[in-house]
Amino acid sequence: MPPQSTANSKTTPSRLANFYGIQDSIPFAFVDINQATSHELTRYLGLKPEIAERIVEARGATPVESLRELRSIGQISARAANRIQKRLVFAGHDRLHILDVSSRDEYLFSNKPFTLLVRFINPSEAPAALVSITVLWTGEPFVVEKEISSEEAEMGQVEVEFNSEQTLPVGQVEFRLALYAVNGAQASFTKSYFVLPSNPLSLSLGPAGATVTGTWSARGDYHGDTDTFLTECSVTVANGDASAVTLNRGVNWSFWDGGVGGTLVESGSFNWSGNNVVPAHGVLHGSIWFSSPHGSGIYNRYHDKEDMTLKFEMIANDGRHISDTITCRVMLAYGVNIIKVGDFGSQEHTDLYNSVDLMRQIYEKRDITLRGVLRWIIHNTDAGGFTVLDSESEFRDLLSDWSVPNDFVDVYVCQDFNWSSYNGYAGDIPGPASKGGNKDGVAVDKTGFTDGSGTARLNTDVLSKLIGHEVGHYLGLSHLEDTNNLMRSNTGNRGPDLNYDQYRKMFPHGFMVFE
Amino acid sequence: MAERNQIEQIKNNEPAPVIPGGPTRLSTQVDLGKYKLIQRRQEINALLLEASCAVGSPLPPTFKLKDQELLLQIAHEHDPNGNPLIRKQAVQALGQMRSLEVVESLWGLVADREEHESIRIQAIASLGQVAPRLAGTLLETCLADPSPLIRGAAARGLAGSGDLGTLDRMREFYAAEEDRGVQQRLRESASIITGRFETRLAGFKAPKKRRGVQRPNQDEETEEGTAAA
Repeated sequence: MPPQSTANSKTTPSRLANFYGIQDSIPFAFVDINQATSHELTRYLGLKPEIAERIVEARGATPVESLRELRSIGQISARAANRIQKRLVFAGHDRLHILDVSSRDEYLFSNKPFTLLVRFINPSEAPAALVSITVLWTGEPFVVEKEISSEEAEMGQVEVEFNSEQTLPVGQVEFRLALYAVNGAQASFTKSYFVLPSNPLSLSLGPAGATVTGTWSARGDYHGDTDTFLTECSVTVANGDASAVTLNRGVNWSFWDGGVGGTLVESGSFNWSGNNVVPAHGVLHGSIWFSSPHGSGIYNRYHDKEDMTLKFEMIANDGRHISDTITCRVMLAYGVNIIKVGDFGSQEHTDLYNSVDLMRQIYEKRDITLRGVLRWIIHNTDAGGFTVLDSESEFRDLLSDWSVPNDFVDVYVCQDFNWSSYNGYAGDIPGPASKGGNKDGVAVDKTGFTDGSGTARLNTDVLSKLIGHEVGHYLGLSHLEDTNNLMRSNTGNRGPDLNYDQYRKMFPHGFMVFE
Repeated sequence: MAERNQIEQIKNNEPAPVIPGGPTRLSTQVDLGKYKLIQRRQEINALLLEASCAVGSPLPPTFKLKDQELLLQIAHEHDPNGNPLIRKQAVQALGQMRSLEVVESLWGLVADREEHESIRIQAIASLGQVAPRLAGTLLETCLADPSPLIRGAAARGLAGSGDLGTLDRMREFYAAEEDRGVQQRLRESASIITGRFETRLAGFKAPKKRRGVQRPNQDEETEEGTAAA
């Protein structure tokens, strides 16, 4: 009898379907200094009660218009003023800001129209006039816009309806909002949901570790030390019901060649480990992995570079069957050396590696993965002028002076680019498949900003595509101006897409391996 | 690891995934004809990041004077959820317009220590473009800034706006400066101001250059098990 594959599982923490995105904007409480009560000033700004009282009494009929004025009437120290200034809204300020986005019905259900509520603050005299929502889901992105009435502008809240032609299937969806005032001021916000099944229980499969929208493949990783292929993918069970659902522990799996109903490659069952309860209006996450030894059916298909379809089935205690399928294939892979040029804050560090993870998912949608992410740093004391890249010659010097001697792509993440209007560059197209010289890497601006609480952050959405774009050059891709393509020259309208021709173009690079 | 020619043999005989309801949805868009400033804002957003990848050396976008108000607005927007590069590029575009009306605004960004360094660095560069002589005096004060990135940017800016009188003060700062990057920028600027080869410039002695290619340090914040080769 030929060797058989074995299966295992684990459960990861559940997430609520209406607080789903790990990269979403954080709802933030701004304080209108001319409207807030003394209690709110104490609660949201951490001011002492006596200072808050003093401000409320002193502001009287004349609106407070500046931090200096506030310091004067509240007798606030410079240090305290600096701490709170980014959370304050003064009379007449052009500070348009989206406070929060939510669904009118709390959750989104598959194939059903829905309405999003957008709350905003706008002390400016120029009223909010337009909200534009770009929807990123498993299909092609689309846009829903709405004019804001004077009543809505006054109220600071607008409802945007998604009609029967704009409903969504089960799965993750990301809403990217831009709110505009008539004077051209703009505020942005990102909010994600998991669209729950209307039926109301569903199961979906995805590649391991995936969090972005889209449909793509799970990969078979070859492990030379044990001569086995490992297939790992994520399992998501969504519950659209108002009560929790318990799943049977026994689950079934099968691998098919030529789609389900074609040739059965291998099949089996095992007991689900860990939590098997899907919370009400919630999502249960887990992962499964299959270890396929030399000679097993799955091993042989991978070895012959053939794709397979995995079918995975679970049964609820009430008898409902839920299942999904995913294509499994071996993937191409390359590695990256992420090199911080200069010191990063702790949150910046976290944001950087979240960006690299998002970049990995962009490539995995086109069946190329990362075989490793090595973490490096050139501390401020050693980096010299390379922390801020000023010119091409400085970029070339950075590549000449510093290098990681391995077969991964060197990605230098600099504190800033102060070189024309650029924010990224690649040593060559394609970059060399050996280290040495002044073309063996790429560099990007770290995309730093200060968030509403004063913490130094990196913009993970922009940075993930920026790194992915420059690495794309290194692997042989030129600019391509197709809608939503990763290789668009403009950082502002760049998307996560790579087409099949681009995938084939990256094959021959010497750093690309097939494992 | 497989041979390279095997990569060419990948076979896909699996059916493509099916999206319920199809892969497209209807967009609903507002005619922006009556919102000229919103329309221009969207155009400016796209223009600002048009020449962002240095591959191909594209020229930075150019703007008309009538765009100045919108660019100033973008430069001062503190939206934590926006694209930070747009704001930075707006500050850069203000420098290219070379209008004296923006000097106060740019200096406000440079002087605000709560502002993000990337914005301050760009504002220093733009200030040097708009008002080189005035910038020289202002940038000297930035040589005492706590951030080495700002001191470095100020040192670089002084190359275009400083005069021989600036050189003595730069020399004083150089003697007290501990950051190698700032030292390097001061040396470079001093050599540009005097037109002399940097290593011979009195008071700006360069440290010995390291030989060979350096390997970065492994990042101490590496989580165990994540750095798989």
